[in-house]
Amino acid sequence: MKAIVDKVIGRYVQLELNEDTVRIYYEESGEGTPLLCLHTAGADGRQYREVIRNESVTSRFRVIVPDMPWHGKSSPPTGWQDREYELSTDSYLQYILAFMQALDLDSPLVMGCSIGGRVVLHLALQHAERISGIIGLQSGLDAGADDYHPKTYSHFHRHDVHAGYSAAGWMAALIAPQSPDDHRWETLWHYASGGPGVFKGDLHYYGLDGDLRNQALNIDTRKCPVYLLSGEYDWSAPASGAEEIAQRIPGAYFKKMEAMGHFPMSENPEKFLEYLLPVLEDYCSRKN
Amino acid sequence: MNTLIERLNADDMLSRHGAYYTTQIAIVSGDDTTCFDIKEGKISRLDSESPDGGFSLIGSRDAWDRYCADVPPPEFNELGAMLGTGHVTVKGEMSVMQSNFMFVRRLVELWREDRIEVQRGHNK
Repeated sequence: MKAIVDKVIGRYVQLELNEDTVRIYYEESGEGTPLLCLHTAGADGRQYREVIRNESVTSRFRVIVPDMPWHGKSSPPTGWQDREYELSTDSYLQYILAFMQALDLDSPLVMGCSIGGRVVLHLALQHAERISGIIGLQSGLDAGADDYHPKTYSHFHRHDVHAGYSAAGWMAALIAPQSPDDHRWETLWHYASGGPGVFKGDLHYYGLDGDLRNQALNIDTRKCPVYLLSGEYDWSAPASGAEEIAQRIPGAYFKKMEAMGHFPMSENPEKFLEYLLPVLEDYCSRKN
Repeated sequence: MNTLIERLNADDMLSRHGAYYTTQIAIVSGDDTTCFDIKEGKISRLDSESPDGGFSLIGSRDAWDRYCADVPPPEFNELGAMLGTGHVTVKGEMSVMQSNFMFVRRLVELWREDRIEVQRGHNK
């Protein structure tokens, strides 16, 4: 049997974030405009495993997929055992901007899913001059912040619950029934293998701190194009939420992805690329 | 019901996830209740409508019918989706459900498969 070796390469970069030094793992492939891909809460960059090796993408884009601090192959800060991980808007943005600076990424197109789909909006609102566009997957302005309580997600981080299986069991509910079983279970494996307390810590941003409902969405889409793609089976960040965002940002693009859930690039990559490639095409034509 | 119990006990995923799980679970669909007794993963039928120390998953018949469609619509595609959107509620020990949600969702998934087969049999 002939082995298939991807062109994807993995590297580490060290970042200074406040008083922490963290070792960030990232993968990249392709040449062209940087396309920075941000994974969902409690998961890692493996979610983009098919996007990063798709030649229709890598022929025009340098695809870069990091694992957030504490996630995947990226390390937590020294002293992780003495603290509780909790993601905030500020710490999320700080990490993304530091990563972009460390790799000297010039005006990347930034694509993110779920928490990543929210933070790309924060990026476009606060740092539009640093990027050249955003693609929000499963973007939403909020995730029930009015009902948020730290104990809401306690089952993802308590001694008497297998947090990995708990996360996988619940995330199964966000995957469309039409998604292929192999990709469904690979997506759930990512959730089953997260670090202790990490998923719950991410949900602090998703459920509370990253709430954007009361902010004016002043994004100039002539300078920073906004694309929003949302799966119809996502009840956590429903397509109606992304549609509302698109209505509030003049010039924003929105498309509901049929037969798709909360993890489009991971649960059904082939189908997802059918939606993504026209977006990338439009972005390239605007840029030229 | 016996066919369902046999199906549940023959399922490899349930066996693995249930090896240390002891509780009682009821699925309430409108006026119909199906109750299970689980002892370290071994599942048997329980002639009761109120699980002792466990929990009930309560939904309207219409909600469970949607879940049992060949291709369930959004919000009905999984137990977690119905819980997350309020189409199904939990009565009883929530922590017992959360402690082994992979087992619970699989049990309900197999109950769904059985219900679909029974329904198809009736329609023949």
